Parts: sequence; structure tokens; C-alpha cells
Amino acid sequence: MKRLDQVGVRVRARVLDRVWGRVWDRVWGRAAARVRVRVRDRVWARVWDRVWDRVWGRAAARVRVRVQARGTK
Amino acid sequence: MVQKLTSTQTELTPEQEALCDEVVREYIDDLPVARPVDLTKVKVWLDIVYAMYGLETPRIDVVQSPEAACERASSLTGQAQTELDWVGVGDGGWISFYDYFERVKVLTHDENADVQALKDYGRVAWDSILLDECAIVVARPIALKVDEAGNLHSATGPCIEWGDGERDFAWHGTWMPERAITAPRTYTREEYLAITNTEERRALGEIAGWDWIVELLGSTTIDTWCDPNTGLNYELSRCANDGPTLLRKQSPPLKDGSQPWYSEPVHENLLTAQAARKWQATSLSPEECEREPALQFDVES
Repeated sequence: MKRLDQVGVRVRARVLDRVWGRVWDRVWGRAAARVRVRVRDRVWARVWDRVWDRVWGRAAARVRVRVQARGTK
Repeated sequence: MVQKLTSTQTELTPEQEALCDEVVREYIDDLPVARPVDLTKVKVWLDIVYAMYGLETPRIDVVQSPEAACERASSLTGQAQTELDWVGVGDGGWISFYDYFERVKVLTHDENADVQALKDYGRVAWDSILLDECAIVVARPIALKVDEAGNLHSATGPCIEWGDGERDFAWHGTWMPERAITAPRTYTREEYLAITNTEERRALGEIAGWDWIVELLGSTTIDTWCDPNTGLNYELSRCANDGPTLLRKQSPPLKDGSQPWYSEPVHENLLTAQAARKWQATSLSPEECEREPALQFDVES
């Protein structure tokens, strides 16, 4: 049997990145030019810091790193 | 009901701010929940992934730990497999991020459907190793303990236990040997000094107590210094019987507000805590650091 090539990369490109573009455009891309920096810093980046950053890197991501470090016994 | 996030908003409303905390809490609180693999939800997600490769979802093998998945995949492919796919619970950061935007109506549920399928999958499975003729799915652990911030942590036993008996130990997110958690004060002086991982050494100091570490090493504080610019404290100590010289230093505040202490070996010719701090940050000799212990602007790492 063969392993599917780069499943994580493909899922990020085909599922997660697609949504990223849509959200980015709606939150930031449609903001008026004069307030774009403010929207980026106080809306987009705020949600990024307050949600993504606090969930990412917690338990699950750490377990992944551990598995990699240990390898197959 | 939280207000829709509009493109004219330049700040989140208090309700939208509160929703950030709510979403985060929901995802972190879900991490320790043990659930059996639900093959219906797993299949919904696998159908999406296999379709990306133009394949039908093959037979599904459920295994009880990441190690078991690597072993099974190695056996089926005839090649050593040491990594999971990195798809599942570990994507919580992305999933929660988009979940938030769905809840503030920037995304419709249909637009976010594949992400929601990934979310549902992560609620009933941990990760996977996908092969062309077999999908190896890792079940969630039977026990997982985290601290308030969501880092793997248990002060009394394993922080994670898998269905096949695999287990691991951690202190506020730092991986530790079992003994450091269950019997920290059995370490000898030599064993403590042989720990080369600074995070592990710091964690052991917190678990066993810094006073106990000082007693173990027979160390004497020879100088203390508080950086007037940062308010951070430093302590230089010498261990008995030709032991190392240690600089104990306080971390700047982390995101969670804590300021852990680190203890690291420094050159034995250093005499002051301020010079030891400079010695660590530069390539200067101990003598040069003692002569001019203030760090120059732009030098400190």
C-alpha cells in the first residue's frame, strides 16, 4: 500500500485556505481604505490573537510533536 | 445573539469580544473529553479527503494511539512511518478561528461545511494516517489533562493516556520523564545537573521546589540583581564541591501573565548576576563582562 501524499498540506490548501480567502476578503478587503489598518489590527488580528493563537499549539499540537520526536518504536 | 460582524466595523463589540473567549473555552474544554470513534462522522470527513485524490474511501482501521498508527502504517507500506497526517484535533486553531467567523455571520454554514466536517471528525477521532487502500484512524485518548490555558499538564500522573496503554507526562506543556512528576525529589545532584533541556530543568525546579533544588546542589547565592529597565530579577549562585555556577533568571511576563524562573549554567569566573546576564547574551569573556556589565542597546538577545 502507499501513503497518500501530503494529506495535511492538501487539506490546508483545499479546505482551510479557501475559507481564509473568503473571510479575509469580507472582513478586511471590503473595509474602506482609510480604516483598513485599523480593521486589520483591531478586528482581524484581534480574533487571530484571541481565538486562533489560544487554541492552536495547545494539547493536540504538542502531542503531534511528541509523536514525531519518538518515532516508531 | 451576537451581532453580525460588518465590513464597516473597526473594532469588535463587547459581545463579539466575549464570543472569542466562549469559542476558545469550548475548544479547550473539549480536549480532555474521551469519545469513542464514530465511524459515520469519520466517513463523512474521509470521503472529502479521499475525493481530493480522486479515490473512494477504503476500509477504515481504528487504532488506539499515534504510536500504534505509525506501526500499522509501517507494516502496511513496508516503510518506516513516523508521522501522522497532522489532520484532526490538532487543527483546532484553524477550526475555531473559522467557527468564530461563522458565528458572527461572516461565513454561512454551507460555506464552512468542510471545516465543520473536520470539526466533527476531530470530536470523535484524533488524527490519521491515510493510505490508498486503508485509512488508519487514531482514537482519542482515554484520558487527557490540561491546565487552565489548555497546555498538557498533570501534577500527579500522566497527562495523556491512550487506549492501548501508551502514556506521557507533562508539566504545563513541557514534556517530562515520569519520575519528574511522580517522584521529583528522588533526583540526585548529578542527575539534575545532567538535564540539558532548559525547559525540563525549569519545570523540575517548579515541581520539586526551588528551595529543594538549592539544597540538593549545595548552592550559595553570591549575587543578586534587578534590571532597573525591565524589573526582572537575576541570582548568581555557586554550587558546592566544584559544582557549576548557575544564573537563575526571571522570564519576562508570558501571554498568560506568569513569569517562570530558569536556572542555567554560566562561566565559573563570573562574580555578579548582571555580568552573567551579559555573558549569556554576548560572546565576551567573563572578565570583559565584569568590567562593563551593562548591556549595550541592541545587544541583548
